[in-house]
Amino acid sequence: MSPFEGLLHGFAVAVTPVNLLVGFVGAIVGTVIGVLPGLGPLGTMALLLPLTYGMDPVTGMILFAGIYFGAMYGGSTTSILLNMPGEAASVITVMEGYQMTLRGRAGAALAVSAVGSFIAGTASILALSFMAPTLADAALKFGPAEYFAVALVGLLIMARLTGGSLAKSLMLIAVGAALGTVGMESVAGYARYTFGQPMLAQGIDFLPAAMGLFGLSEVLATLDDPDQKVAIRKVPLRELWPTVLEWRRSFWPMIRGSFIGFCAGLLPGPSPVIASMVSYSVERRLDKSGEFGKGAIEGVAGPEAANNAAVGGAYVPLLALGIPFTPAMAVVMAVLLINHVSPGPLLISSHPDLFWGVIASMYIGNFMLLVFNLPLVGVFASIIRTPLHYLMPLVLLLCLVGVYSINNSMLDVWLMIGFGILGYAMKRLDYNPAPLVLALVLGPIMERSFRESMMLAGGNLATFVTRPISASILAVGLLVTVAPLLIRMRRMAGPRRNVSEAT
Amino acid sequence: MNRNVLFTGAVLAAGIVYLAMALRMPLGSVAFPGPGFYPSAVGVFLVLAAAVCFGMALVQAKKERPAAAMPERSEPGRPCIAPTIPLIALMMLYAVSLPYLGFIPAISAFLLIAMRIFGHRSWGRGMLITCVVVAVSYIGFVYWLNVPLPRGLLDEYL
Repeated sequence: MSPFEGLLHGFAVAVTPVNLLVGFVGAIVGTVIGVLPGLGPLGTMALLLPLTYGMDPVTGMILFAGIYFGAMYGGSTTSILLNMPGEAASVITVMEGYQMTLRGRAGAALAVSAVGSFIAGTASILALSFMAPTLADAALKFGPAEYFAVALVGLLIMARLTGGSLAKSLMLIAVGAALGTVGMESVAGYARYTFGQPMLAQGIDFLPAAMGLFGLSEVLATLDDPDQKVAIRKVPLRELWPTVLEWRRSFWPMIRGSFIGFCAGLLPGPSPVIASMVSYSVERRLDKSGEFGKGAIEGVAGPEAANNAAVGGAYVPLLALGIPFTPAMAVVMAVLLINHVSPGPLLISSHPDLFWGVIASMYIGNFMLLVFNLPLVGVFASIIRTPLHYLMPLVLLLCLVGVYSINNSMLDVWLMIGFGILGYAMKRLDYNPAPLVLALVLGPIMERSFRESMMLAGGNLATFVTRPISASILAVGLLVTVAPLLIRMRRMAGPRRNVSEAT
Repeated sequence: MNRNVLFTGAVLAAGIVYLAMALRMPLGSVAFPGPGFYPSAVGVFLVLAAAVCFGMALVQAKKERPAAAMPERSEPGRPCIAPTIPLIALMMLYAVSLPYLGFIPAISAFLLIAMRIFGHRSWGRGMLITCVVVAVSYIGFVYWLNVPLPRGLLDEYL
């Protein structure tokens, strides 16, 4: 099936009353979550996972795609209007977006943000339509050694790109990988780190960990400043249209942002955040207006396009290889696994309804978000007026009941509370929890792949470097890890060399 | 003591225990890795990474000590963790009581007290909101999502 035929088939699957309604609900929920600082798309998707149990897997995937894209749209609203990013990927938008609001150009910023998000989202979905099947075909040549290499390099790249100290990220990856070994080992049935507790034999599910580290910790953090009040600036509908000059200045940043975002989405790590940061840096370097820092529209158009495009890019490794490179994609993978669908290279050929249906729904969802977000921007922004003493207990209720409903297990409730406390402590100490969660997901994949590789290779470790694909992937990982260190050493040696030459 | 030193120290200690337990499991061979093979490798990596972070935290703490000794150089506006302690205790109490009390009593009490912790002052309005939210949640989770929520010992006896 060619991509064009696939898309047509996908639209036939997606354009049903149920799927359209679910896509719409997902987009609205995602926008609301994006507006509200705290929960984030990952926590919301983890919370709503039980909703997908009775659903068709296509419908479940459509819901989550709507939430993820919606959150990117919603996060920019509060960044622009309130100087308060509702979502991590919208932090960069605050820099220029709020300055535009202070200059009376809030409407233009919102419109450019929405249109840029739509263009980038559409472009990334188009790229996903072509790239995922191609990569899936290539991945049919992957063996256990290649999957081990991809998982290992994915974690190394995540450690590099997460920001902050590399040592801290590596330590958290090790913690996540260690937690992933808890439970009944799959080959010999050996109980590892269960301390005699039967409940621990099933292992530590990553969902309670994700909900605790990302959701619960945010709720605890709001207690640090519960009296925060926000003043919402009203934007009349007539002021939403940018000028011709503003559109002209936004066009190429949107295109560049789309490309940067999609490429960033292919990489492990917080891709929407990275994409928006890289896009902002690029636009700043290319800026000739001198307005950066004072409300440059390029600083809104580029990053907002980038963070939306990253969402489409993030789906490629999951749908083509069956490996999630972000915690959010791990939740999407859970939707598939719950419905007994194994993500991987054979997904597209064995479940074309699912793959093309989700892709088509992303197009539809993006369009819905563009149409509804602009006129309803005031409504979405006013949601943030909901007092915390109503909102946070409600979020906690959803977390506590939702996590129990995953496996009907009290262990999951206790794990979520424990991870919530850990996540709060990590937040206070400036540690990013994403590497820990991703290692919790990828660790078991790494172990399984390593064992299978060694059994096939008769214990010969050289198999990872003698197989061309595995060797190439490991070489990329080595480059990403070592190159910044070498560059830094060269820079440090540079001034010393100049001083010795001068004397 | 510096919080980062405590945190990384705790991770290092946990890593050492983890590694010690992994080495006591059957390691197998490289060709046929046993249950302890991968955890041992992870344990070594964890101990090394945590040791580096612990060292970095100690160095940082030493640099900050002269500054911390000067009382006028305090950190204004640094958030205090005290308000989170009641909420954490409440969540733990909820988890302990849920199997015995059942969903409706446990979550109702939780919501009411959680609203107080977040600053809500009116008991009457709080109880009304709690009733509505618990009713909607119960219907949503039990009848729509078919999640069997705990009924508690009281419900089993009645």
